[in-house]
Amino acid sequence: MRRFPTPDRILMVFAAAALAGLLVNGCNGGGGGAGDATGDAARRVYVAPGEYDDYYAFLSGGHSGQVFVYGLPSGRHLNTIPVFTPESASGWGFDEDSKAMLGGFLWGDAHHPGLSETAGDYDGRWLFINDMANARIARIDLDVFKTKQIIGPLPNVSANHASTFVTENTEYVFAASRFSAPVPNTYQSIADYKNKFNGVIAAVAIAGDGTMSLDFEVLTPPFHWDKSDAGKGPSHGWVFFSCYNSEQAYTKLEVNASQNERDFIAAVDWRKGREAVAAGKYKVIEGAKVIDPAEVPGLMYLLPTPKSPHGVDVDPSGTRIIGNGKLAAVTVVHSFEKFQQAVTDKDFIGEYGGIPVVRYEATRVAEVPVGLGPLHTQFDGRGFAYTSLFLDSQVAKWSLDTYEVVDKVDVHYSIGHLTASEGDTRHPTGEWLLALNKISKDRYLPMGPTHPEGAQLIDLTRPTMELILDIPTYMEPHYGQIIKADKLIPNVKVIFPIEENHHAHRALNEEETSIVRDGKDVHVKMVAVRTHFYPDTLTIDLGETVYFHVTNVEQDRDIAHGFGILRSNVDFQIEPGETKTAKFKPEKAGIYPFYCSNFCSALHQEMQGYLAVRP
Amino acid sequence: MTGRLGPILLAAFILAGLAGCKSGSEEKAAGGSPAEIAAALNEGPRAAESMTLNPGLASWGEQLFKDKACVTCHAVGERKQGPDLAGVADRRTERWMKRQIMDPEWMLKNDPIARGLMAEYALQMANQQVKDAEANALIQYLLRETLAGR
Repeated sequence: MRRFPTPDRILMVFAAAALAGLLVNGCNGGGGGAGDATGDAARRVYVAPGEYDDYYAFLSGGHSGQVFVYGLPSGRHLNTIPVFTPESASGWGFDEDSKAMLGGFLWGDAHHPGLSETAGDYDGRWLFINDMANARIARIDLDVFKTKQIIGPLPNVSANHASTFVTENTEYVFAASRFSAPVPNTYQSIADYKNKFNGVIAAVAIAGDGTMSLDFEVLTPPFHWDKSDAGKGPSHGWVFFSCYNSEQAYTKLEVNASQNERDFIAAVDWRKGREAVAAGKYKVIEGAKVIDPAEVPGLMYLLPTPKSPHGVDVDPSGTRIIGNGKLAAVTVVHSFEKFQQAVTDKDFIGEYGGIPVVRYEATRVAEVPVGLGPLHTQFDGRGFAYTSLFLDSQVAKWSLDTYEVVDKVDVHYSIGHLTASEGDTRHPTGEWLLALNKISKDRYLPMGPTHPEGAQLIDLTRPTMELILDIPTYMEPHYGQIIKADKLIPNVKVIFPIEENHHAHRALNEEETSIVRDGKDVHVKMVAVRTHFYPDTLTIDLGETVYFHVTNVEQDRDIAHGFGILRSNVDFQIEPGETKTAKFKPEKAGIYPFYCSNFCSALHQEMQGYLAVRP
Repeated sequence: MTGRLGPILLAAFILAGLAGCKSGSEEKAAGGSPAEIAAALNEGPRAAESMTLNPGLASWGEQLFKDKACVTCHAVGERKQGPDLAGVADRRTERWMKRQIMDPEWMLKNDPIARGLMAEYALQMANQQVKDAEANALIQYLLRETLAGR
């Protein structure tokens, strides 16, 4: 759509380009238009009314707990998928099924979305996302763009940051402790940190239907596990975790955890973990099968990497493991082949808790002087890597052949992650790079002290990187995944086919509705259709709990109904063909109107009913 | 701000022009203007005259009438939220009923009878994603009820 405008669109695009040109020249004091060397930035990001973007971008919502869906290149916010946090419009956490999935938590800290993969490329089936704070992982099914499973809190995992990075054929997603703690988590003196605290790496297996289950855990020294990436191609079967705090400090970490010139990237052979479990080499702690790496040689190695490395990223060929220095001004390239050779040669310089430490010079093939504060690296599939520089507020482009920096672009400001189009797969598309900046300062109309987060779109198809669009977002994207839209579109369901609704309490028509009493519970099977509920009047006694099982029997695209009860915490949206359950226990006698809270038709105002509660 | 209006108007003008051209050529390919197509839908013999009853298909249609939730708005012999369907096969052609069932959005936009029903009932006929064979069965059911009600 973007590259090949049809002749009848070109005039339109020029008109829009002229408009955008005026805007850029007229009021952008912060730079950012500077990369638009050919003056056609607007044309490159313009998507005409009614047309689709080329890519979906899934951005994590940070401590909003959600996932945001954007279209690229337009940068339009398409929707928000509620995941770890209640959200009243969709009713996430308000109906009984989603309430159960949230498990009583009102917040989550969603950091790293990970798309499912087949042979190392996105396959468009699922999106996984971690909740750092409560050690959970969610699966969003991309046929309906809804959260379908949340696993966790995972036992023994204390703050799941290094997650979710999916293995080459979606065998596993991983979790790992960022804040090491006693395992199991019991009281210990904090001063006993080195002896009594541990990190944990957890392997969560993905079944063929996407169901997640905890397979095994690995007990580690009390480092702070930071980021991870799964091997691909030759390194398939391994997963890599970066850490800070190899000093094993427990207070004033900004100083005490920044002492060592090198911390580690841990390499874990998850196939060996699986074999160890099958051989019974584990202890059960808090219900999890926990492996001590000292008892399973070959399971885990430590690769020294300067200095408090943050992101660890495997290149598209799977032959290089890249550590981003954070406190060092270099990005380090480890060779997977050399790492394997060092293991064969036992080229070790020590060990931590039985885990061998490989000699740095044995695996390192380059230290790329990218700039200050390197955090993460992505790829374009044409032999270049792109590293975000937090302190320099830049992206550095460097060659995977010569390890030389070839280009830099300013971003605004303080970039954290960056995500390129399919840029962490075996075949990045090399079209777009999204800089996910932590600070937006003066980039948008002032709105008081709370600022939007600032994503910025960089065109990778030109000789030099060109930053051509600012995209404000709600708090606060960490990482993202950008996938070709045509990988998802054929499988997206725009309604729930009513033939596939096997909900125990569905009602397809008035005949199938009912009001059934079971002790103090009243179960109402109800139909919602433009523009009435059936039944729309009912009477219960004070002390009874009513369960409204509401089926939207519509099959029309985008005709959702809402179900809200006045003076209650019940409200949700019911999509066409879907059944949802509201539980309501009135605390006072009286009349409780309920209504369709999601605009549906010309007679939407009339779509209501009355619940009478007898004293 | 005035300076920005020029390109906006230009863009809107061009867009409007293109939209017009596109829909025109589509309709030509379909063989007539929407108004002509709609007018032809209810011409000719009524469904009850042109069709032969297939009782097996009509029974399936009766079940579909419930499973596809038609029954939440329609009945035969009773005006619910939507029109009473008693005698419908004496009022409409088979072609009209089929398009109204399968493509109600198009009918609402283009068909004078559907627009008249909207004005009377203030309720848009829902698109229940009824497939071709299912629509035939539903029409058979309505034919059976029409014949039985004579």
